[in-house]
Amino acid sequence: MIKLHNIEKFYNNKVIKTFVLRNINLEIAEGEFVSVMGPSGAGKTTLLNIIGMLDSPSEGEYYFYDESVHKMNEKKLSELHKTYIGFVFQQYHLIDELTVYENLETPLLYQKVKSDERKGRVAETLDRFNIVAQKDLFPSQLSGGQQQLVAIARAIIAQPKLILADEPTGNLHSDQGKEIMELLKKLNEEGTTIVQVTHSETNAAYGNRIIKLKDGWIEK
Amino acid sequence: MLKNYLKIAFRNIIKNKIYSFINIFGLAVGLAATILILLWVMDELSYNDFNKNLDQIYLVPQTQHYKNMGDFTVSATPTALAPYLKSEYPGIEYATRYTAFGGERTVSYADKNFTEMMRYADPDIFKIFSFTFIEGRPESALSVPNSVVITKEVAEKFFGNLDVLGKTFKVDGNYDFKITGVINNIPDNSDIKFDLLASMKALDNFHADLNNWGSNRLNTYVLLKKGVSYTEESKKIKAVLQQHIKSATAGDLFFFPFKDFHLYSISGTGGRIKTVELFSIIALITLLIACINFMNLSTARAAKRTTEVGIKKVVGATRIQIAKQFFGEALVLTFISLLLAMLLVELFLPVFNQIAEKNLSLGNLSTGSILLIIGLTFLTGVISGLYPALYLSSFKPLSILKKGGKTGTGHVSLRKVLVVFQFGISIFLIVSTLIVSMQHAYLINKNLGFDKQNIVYFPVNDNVKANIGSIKSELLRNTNIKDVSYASDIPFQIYSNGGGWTWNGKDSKQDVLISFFGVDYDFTKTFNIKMDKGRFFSTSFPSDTVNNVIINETFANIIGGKNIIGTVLSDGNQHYNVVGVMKDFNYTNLFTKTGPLLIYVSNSTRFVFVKVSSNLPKAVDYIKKVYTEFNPGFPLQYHFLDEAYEESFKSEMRLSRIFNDFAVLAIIISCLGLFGLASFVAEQKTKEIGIRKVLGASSFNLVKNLTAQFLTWVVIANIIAWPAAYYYLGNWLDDYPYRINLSIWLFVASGILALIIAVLTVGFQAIKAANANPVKSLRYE
Repeated sequence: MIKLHNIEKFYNNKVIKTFVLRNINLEIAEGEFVSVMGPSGAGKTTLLNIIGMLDSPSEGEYYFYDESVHKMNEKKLSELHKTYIGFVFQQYHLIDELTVYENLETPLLYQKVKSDERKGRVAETLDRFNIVAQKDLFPSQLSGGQQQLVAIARAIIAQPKLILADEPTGNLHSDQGKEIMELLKKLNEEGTTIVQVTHSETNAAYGNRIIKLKDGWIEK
Repeated sequence: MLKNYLKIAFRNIIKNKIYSFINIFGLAVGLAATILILLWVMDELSYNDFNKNLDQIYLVPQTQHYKNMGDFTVSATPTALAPYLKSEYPGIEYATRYTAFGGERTVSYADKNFTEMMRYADPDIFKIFSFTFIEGRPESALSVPNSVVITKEVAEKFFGNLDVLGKTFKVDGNYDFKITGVINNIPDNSDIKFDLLASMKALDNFHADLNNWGSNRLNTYVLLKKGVSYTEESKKIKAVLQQHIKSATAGDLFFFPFKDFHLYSISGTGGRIKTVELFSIIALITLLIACINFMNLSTARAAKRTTEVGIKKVVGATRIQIAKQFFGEALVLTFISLLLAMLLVELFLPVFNQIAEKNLSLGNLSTGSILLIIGLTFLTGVISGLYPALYLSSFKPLSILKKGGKTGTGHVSLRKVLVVFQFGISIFLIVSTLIVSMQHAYLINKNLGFDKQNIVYFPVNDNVKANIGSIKSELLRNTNIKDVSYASDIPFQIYSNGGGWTWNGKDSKQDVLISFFGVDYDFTKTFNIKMDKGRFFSTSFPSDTVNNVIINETFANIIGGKNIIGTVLSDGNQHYNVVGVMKDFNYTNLFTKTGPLLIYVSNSTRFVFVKVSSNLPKAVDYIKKVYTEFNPGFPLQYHFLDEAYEESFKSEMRLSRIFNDFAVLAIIISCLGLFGLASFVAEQKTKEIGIRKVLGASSFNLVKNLTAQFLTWVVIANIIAWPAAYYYLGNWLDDYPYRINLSIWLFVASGILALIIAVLTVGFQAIKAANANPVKSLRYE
């Protein structure tokens, strides 16, 4: 599904080149649950963003379903990530002005899903995540765990093949964290590929592969 | 999708009440001002357009050439001109003479007396202008000598109904006029206005020569045939006056399009169009300031919207979709503002109408202007949404979503430019309003060269004229009355003039236009005017009533030489001896420089002036009593000279009042924007302020810090605005022969005023922010 070949990422600060990722070679197959680990500043989030097409590598090749992402224009990229990829952030990033229901609806609106189907899918998702009671509340009225639940619900509502989660439990206490991880695991079992960035060994254990990053290099 | 945008837009409005209020209200006030001015401008532009043949209607003015004042274009032409033009020039379909001939008249029927505006014209007037008849026939209404056509309003006032044909009015208690027609009331936006329109031939009553080429006493209007070029036709009639009178004053005739009559001066320079342009500019500036507010606040608040933009982009929104959303929001806001603006217009229209002396209403808006207003609102929405839309949609989702969201501070420079620009305009407006009001105060208070306090005057009718001597002595018997004088004109409204005068040593090739003023023996006493040389008229010199005249200083300077007294002047027929030189006084208005004036002992008295020394109300009662004694049944129409003088500035004052009001409005809107921006900056800096406070900064320090930035902008704005204001207002003042000087202190004062306004608006926010508890602000994040 994902093939990274000699990926490098660096920033030019006047004269000094600061490397964030060094010579990354990585393959992720469909159905995998990969955990990316490493100390702060190792480049975990950058790697995730490159996979999620929010950022582009400085050098190297990236194939997504054998299509060369590094050669694509903005429009194609946006199309690709709109249909295949869902994001979950540590800060949840819900739209404050919209209710739970409307937040879930937003990705479907951008994918031009018809009204009837949209309603059906939002209702189904609310049901599945057990948040029907909260559907008319605004994010500020929810607890952190509930907000992350909504964020995950929003990530999967467009039925992506790949979910990218950047420390999804980072802002949650352990009970809520556990609940979220169980949920991700369940999604994985249903066939969604998941890549998560995490500090926690416990959380990493939910996945079936661990990639360790240090100073931009993958540790063998 | 649209629903989603609208929802976010509305929730944002409610969530950020202050900003929304400033945005919506500021824009609404801007739009309301624009709509009001637009209404005014459109009314000005619509003048005379009820005339179906407007494109073919022309006034026939003449341009005379004078030594002392260059070219002088007047609308007055001889009585013989209209019939002559109609018979001799096939390009002319209809022609009419039109004159006020004395203006207001006392009109009576049975026991009812009213003062009405009476005009005289030829029957063709109804072929040229589109007045609609309710009763009578336009073709024949004015063909009988003493016939008169009245408006519906007059008919209802006198008779209560419109069935009035054949009834007879008495005018000035002496002359009978038979009603031959009733027309609909004349639209407000007509430059040809009257209550009663009498046949031209009625002027025979007043011994007016209707076939005269020698003096310019009335206006000539024509209707050119379809397809006739007025410029070509103008060439043909240019020399008509010179062919009939051998006088250097005979001017060049030409056709002046009546559709331009209201806005453009017949002399080709100036006219109301300047005011119309000025007002349009103010409307545009007000709108621009409101738009700038909108843009500034929207972009400033962008920081708070970045997360939303980032998420939307992550879940698949394209840049265009984001831009569309922000455009949509801007449009929603502007249309809410438009609704509010309409409400404000409806609310303030009565006040505005009162100030502008118009009868404007939203209901009178044509479909075209409604579309214009909606278009304008749409444009405002697009313009004010443009920058936020482009700017916000350009955010890279990654940079936003990284750890809590980064704010767009990189665009302060544009915001700075906009604020400086806005403040520049405000300072410009402050300087302008100051100078405009000072100039007008200067004009009103300027010494005219005669005393205008405590003088009551009233117009003379035939009864008064016949008994003028007895009335005068009767009035003087009252101890409250000091002097009584009568004259041909009000001393600051002398408009009769003529050329063709000669004297020894005058350059014979060049003509001088001289104004005439007829007075009695008590003129200098009543008005406290001093003589420069020689003597004033006196009963001890019988020849004073025959051929002795007095001239003013300006005239004396034109003649030149030391021995002015004894100079013999000639108008071509008769010789006049100069017996005195009077000190200059301002005899027209302060918009023109004093010219040469010739004063003679008058028998054509039109006004009586009564100088009151004490107890004004009692004196007025006495004047009323004396007046009615000699004029049974006629109420006294009296005025105070000083009030009448101020009245003569009314239209100027009115315009400057409107200008001032809208300038103040623009300044307020500008402050509103600054207030919003300041509160935003304060809010944005909450964390910084908290940290600084924890580190030991004093509140004063913080306020200084926060305010300094804004003050720098205001100072820069001053530097830009001063030269612009100096140039523009210098030009404006140059149109006045009597003007104030532009002093640097005016500019400094305006600058300081702007600074104070800025300090007050910004300082409030800064103090609030600086005094906040740092623990609270730091608990965020």
